[in-house]
Amino acid sequence: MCSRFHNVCGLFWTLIVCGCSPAVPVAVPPPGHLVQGIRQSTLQPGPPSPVRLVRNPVEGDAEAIETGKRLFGQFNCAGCHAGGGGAIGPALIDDQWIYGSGAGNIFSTIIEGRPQGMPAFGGRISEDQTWRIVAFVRSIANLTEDPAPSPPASGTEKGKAVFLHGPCVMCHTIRGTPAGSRVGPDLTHFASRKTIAAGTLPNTRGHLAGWILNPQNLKPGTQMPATLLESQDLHALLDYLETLK
Amino acid sequence: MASKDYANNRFSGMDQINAGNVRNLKLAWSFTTGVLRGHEGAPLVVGDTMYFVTPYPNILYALDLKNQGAKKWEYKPKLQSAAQGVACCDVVNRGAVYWEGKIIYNTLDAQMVAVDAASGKELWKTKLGDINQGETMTMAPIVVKGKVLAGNSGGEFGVRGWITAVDAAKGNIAWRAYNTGPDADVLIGPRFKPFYARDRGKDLGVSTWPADHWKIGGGSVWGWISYDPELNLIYHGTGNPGPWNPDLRPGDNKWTAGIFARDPDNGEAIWAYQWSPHDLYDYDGINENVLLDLPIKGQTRKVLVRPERNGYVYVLDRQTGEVLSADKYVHVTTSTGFDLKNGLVLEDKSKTPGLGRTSRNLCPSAPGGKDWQPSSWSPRTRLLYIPHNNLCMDMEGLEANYIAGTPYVGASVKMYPGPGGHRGEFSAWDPVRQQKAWSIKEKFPAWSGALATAGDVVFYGTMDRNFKAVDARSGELLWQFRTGSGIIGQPISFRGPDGKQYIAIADGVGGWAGAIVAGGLDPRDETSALGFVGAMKDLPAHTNQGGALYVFALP
Amino acid sequence: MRTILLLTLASLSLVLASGAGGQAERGKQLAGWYGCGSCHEIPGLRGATGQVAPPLRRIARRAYITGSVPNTPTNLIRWIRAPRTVDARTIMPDMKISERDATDIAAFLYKLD
Repeated sequence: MCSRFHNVCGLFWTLIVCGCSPAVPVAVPPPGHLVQGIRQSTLQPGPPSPVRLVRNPVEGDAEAIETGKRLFGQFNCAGCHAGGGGAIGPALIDDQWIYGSGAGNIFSTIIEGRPQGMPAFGGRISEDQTWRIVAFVRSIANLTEDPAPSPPASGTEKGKAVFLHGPCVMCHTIRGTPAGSRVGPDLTHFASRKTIAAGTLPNTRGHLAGWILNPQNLKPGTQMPATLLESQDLHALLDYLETLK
Repeated sequence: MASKDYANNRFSGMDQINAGNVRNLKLAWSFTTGVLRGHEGAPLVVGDTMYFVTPYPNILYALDLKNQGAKKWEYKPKLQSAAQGVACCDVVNRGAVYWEGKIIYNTLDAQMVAVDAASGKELWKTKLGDINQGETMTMAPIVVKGKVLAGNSGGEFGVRGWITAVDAAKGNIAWRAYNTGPDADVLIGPRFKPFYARDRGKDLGVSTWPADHWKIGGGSVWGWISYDPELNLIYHGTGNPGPWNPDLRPGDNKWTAGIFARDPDNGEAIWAYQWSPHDLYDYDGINENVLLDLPIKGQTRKVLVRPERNGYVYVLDRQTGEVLSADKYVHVTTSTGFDLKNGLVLEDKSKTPGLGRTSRNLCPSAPGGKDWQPSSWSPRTRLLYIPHNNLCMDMEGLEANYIAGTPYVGASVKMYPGPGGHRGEFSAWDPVRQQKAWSIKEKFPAWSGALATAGDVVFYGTMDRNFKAVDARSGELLWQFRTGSGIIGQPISFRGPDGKQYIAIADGVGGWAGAIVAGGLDPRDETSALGFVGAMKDLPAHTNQGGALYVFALP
Repeated sequence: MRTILLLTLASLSLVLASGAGGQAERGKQLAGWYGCGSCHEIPGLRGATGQVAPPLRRIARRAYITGSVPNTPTNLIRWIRAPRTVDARTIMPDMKISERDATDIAAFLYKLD
């Protein structure tokens, strides 16, 4: 997904990294990683994951809201949304959010535009300005900080969560878990295997890490996609896979 | 054509249905369009087929009148859905035109399309405007001598208004006249003879604007076009100047909020007049021009009658553009009266809105005494039946930044009912006596078109779901039918394949007046929908969105 | 001048290799088994074409390793055995390599061209 919107993702994540203040916890994977923060649908293939919400670096900040209000007028948002009641565009003060009311959702709606007539402001206004408009819109809609993301699992539960809430679950079966796809090999007794990658590599951590992170390089033409995990997710996943005797 | 005829009389000569028997009118059949949003269109009947263009996505239906409206075919144009984002006042379409075996109409994303009337096959499609410049198209075109005439919408988006002639056979552009800018673009040449001195001069479409502002000055042509075959003149209005905030555009802002008489063969301007020079209140000048021959001061004059946004019914000499009379048909505070000698409305300067201040109690409000909704003339009663508004507004001037493809307005507006508390009226106006013969108060703006018939019955629809037949002479309510959704469409009468007279109307509330329902807007913000929501908070209690054709006949 | 430089570098490599004190030949087998080559390019090691992490050619010459610590045998062995104790954010997994195995691998790496 990130490859399709890589400009947005790149800018977006860069902004997150640069724009956040230490006091506000933000989901900050480095560029190129899986985009987990913004969803428009509550439906997900595979087991539902707790969404790691993207936070507005200036959420609730009075000065940011004031700036956002000014920008809302200057960039003609008010021309379509009036004072929030709507006109050409939908109302922003009611509880109907076609594309989601989370700060990240509103951010991406402004940057990307939407098919039924919302223009794409990305590249025309800065991410800083966009976050301030987001802060203003959420304030007139009386939306407060999104609930804190659920605490991450610990131990091998964490690795299992990485497996079930990431791409692995789309292709591999591990019996006893919700993972039941047959696109790739069954991993139920993975730890008992002597080799991986269709017998081309020994089943050791180092090979396994390289296989998960960059399989094309080891076996060109393989259907296994590169899965660029955050480091703590990779370590947890390796721990977990080792338990699958 | 949607306006029934070139003169825009909208009068049906059929009298099978009359004041005596209309109470027996029954629903013959209905057809759901499958589209929600405001249905402003007029159905079109050609032979045994009824054609109708829906609001976006502008589906064209062909229905079999021999078979209770069975679907013959449908044509779905490929459109840019983003066009919905630059349509100020709901994604309406006011109708199609039939010409030599083709049905021709405009799409929201500013294209004109010709479809084979028998098969539904697309014959040609021509791009006329650019949504990235804020242009859309909503008006019903007409065909004059083989050329389709149409204009753009977008006065709230800083477009440059134009009228274009397209060859009906092949779809190529024959000529285009702009309504702002240098004479060469406006097609003002040696034949141009405006009646009033202030309209004479070179390149007034440039000099009556601050530098270059005519390029984003509005003057769009989203309303009605009339044609006089004898004089060989077309008449069309021009829309509001942009932005709404007048402080940003000192000058008369020619040729916005006015009317042109043009030669249909090449678009050359023959005369012009501005209803509202340097318009202050979004009084678009695009309403219908009803072409009549009327006895004025003992002489029969060729005139056009125009119930105008600014609250006056004008009678103009259609050969010269001279104003013969202008009389208030609604409560007016934005002007004190009309100066006939100079042909100008006498503005109340104390009401002028501007940057950083709020002007209050401006009547009529921005949608005017009457907006696009077309009136109908009866040659039998000699009355013009006008569906219209009774609204006032407060307006605050704001900064306006021109950013192509986004609104360029610079005003915050709140509307409310005019004196009396009713928001709409249906009036019978005598243009010779210059007064109302009778008037019916309506709860909501009377946003539908009117239809007068030789049976001395007049039809119109209300936003709270009543399709009404009233006595043409007295205004007495003779019959009404409760539709599924509010009505803003144009009623028509036609002779069916069985020889019976039928009346047809579309329901489906919306348009600018119905935006609170069409757009699901929030009534807590009274400035929504350019201020209309403030006056229409109770509309959702009366109607939802809808979209169906209803056809009535006597049993 | 150039000769002196080359000699210095060669001896540095020898010093490091002997300082590691391990058996480079055994280290090469272990590097293959543990899968170092699935992430790192390692010259001379079959199948070691990984592009996940930096190539390890001439690692002996580098002043710093892992982007954070001076290039000493102790640091390299510690890195091989417990990467996250050197850099908490690293993607390099903990492969549960014994002291002896890590020493041999280090010896092998320091000999790389």
